[in-house]
Amino acid sequence: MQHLEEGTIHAWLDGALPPLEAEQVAAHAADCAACAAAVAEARGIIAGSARIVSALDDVPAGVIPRGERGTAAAVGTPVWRRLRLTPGRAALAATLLLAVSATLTLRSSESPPPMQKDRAVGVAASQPVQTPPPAPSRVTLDSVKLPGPPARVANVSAQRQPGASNAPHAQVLAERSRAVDAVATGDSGLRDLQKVRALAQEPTAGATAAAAPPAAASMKASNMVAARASAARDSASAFEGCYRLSADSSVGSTEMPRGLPARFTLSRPAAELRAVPPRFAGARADSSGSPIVWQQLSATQVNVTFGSANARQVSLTLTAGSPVGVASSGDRTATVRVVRAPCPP
Amino acid sequence: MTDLDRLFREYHQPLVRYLTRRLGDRDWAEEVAQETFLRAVRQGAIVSERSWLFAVATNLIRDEARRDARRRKHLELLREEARAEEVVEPEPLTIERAQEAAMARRAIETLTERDREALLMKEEGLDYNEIAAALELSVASVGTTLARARRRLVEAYESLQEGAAQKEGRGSHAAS
Repeated sequence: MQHLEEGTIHAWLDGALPPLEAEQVAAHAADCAACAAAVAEARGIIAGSARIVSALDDVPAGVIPRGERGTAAAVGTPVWRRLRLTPGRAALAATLLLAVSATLTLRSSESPPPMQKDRAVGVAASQPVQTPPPAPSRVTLDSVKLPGPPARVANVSAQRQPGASNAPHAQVLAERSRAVDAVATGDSGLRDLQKVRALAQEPTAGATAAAAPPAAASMKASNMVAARASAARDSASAFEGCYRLSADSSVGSTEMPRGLPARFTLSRPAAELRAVPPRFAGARADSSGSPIVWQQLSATQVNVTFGSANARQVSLTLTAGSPVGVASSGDRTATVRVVRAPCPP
Repeated sequence: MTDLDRLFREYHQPLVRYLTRRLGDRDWAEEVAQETFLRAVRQGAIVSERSWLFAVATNLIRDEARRDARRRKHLELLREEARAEEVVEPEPLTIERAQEAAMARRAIETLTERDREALLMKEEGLDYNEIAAALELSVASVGTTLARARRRLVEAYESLQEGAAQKEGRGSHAAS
């Protein structure tokens, strides 16, 4: 089998290959050092690009005047034209409005009998009150033991289980970004549903209904997400320090996966502190001396790659607050116990 | 629950997020999403709902882009003016986050339209078949498209970062 193409590797990591082909790719990646390195690189690129895409969510809303912004339906059409309002119709509407308001004023100056008042209140109270149902709650927030609240990366509990496929990195990231809008679009989504419903029922008045602005609320939601996100900005620092690895006896394992050191240190050069997507080279593996590259996957997860690109690489995913890390090499995964250890002087 | 309710609950969030990432304006994205759902209601039966919705939304953006290239520039100016005049911003983005967002937008704009759309759809959880259907690609080419898009995005972003770091370095050097 020739070396794996980059597109095939991405398709494999995205879980998009048929089972048979996925098995072949996994077997090849396990035997071919160059392809294993390419797979590791692809993992980094997938994580990095997902992170960049999620940075696009920091968008202030409502900054374009609504009257000026075009929609696909009503681009460049003046509001009065969308309302189908001609000067004649406007004059007629104004006259009618005056007449109705004068009548109401005259009537209200007379004292209505108590029964009428009560009835009026009763009618108003019996109007169906549309209570918006709760927004879909596909997202659960983890109890993350990190400084600052989780932001775009609220949902990162998708640890890989022993024996599970290596592929779903991208799915985790997609879930993670979904978590943002579970918060951000909940209210405006319901409001928009009502708008679309109205538009669907009355197509000719569509442009008018579409002009109702949800700008303030969506701006508020956007700011809320941004504020939460900013607190989790530099969470990589929470992972810096020294670690000790041991076999995960809770699953009956007595041996550490090959390629993992017993101790290692995560540190990063000051110049790379602001790197996004952060990839910190130069961390030390105390026991084996092999190079480490570590990368922040989210506010609560980092991926540490042991070994050089020429040799077989082992990747270890650490999750904040979890005593277990997930090691993977090729298509094999295993859990290991991870504890913080005092750093050597 | 009507079809519209179900469609909305299922796809509104990912569609708006996709459009927001694509357009850079949330309200605009919500309006395009509304139009998309409106068309879905009028369309009636749809075989593959998610890819249909994303394809229609993408086409709406493309159509508008073709029609209104000049007006778009004008809107950008208005947007900048409005942003400058914006006073009600309770919790503004930090400078660092705003820079990241701007850099991410510049990086994503360097991709070709097809690469960008494929990547944004993938990030919304569309599978390869759905992306292929929405963008009229062969399923076999989606992996290559995504690989290219991701690599270019990361490279563009890193290059912008390096440029910004060099600029910052020159600035601090000049200041000292």
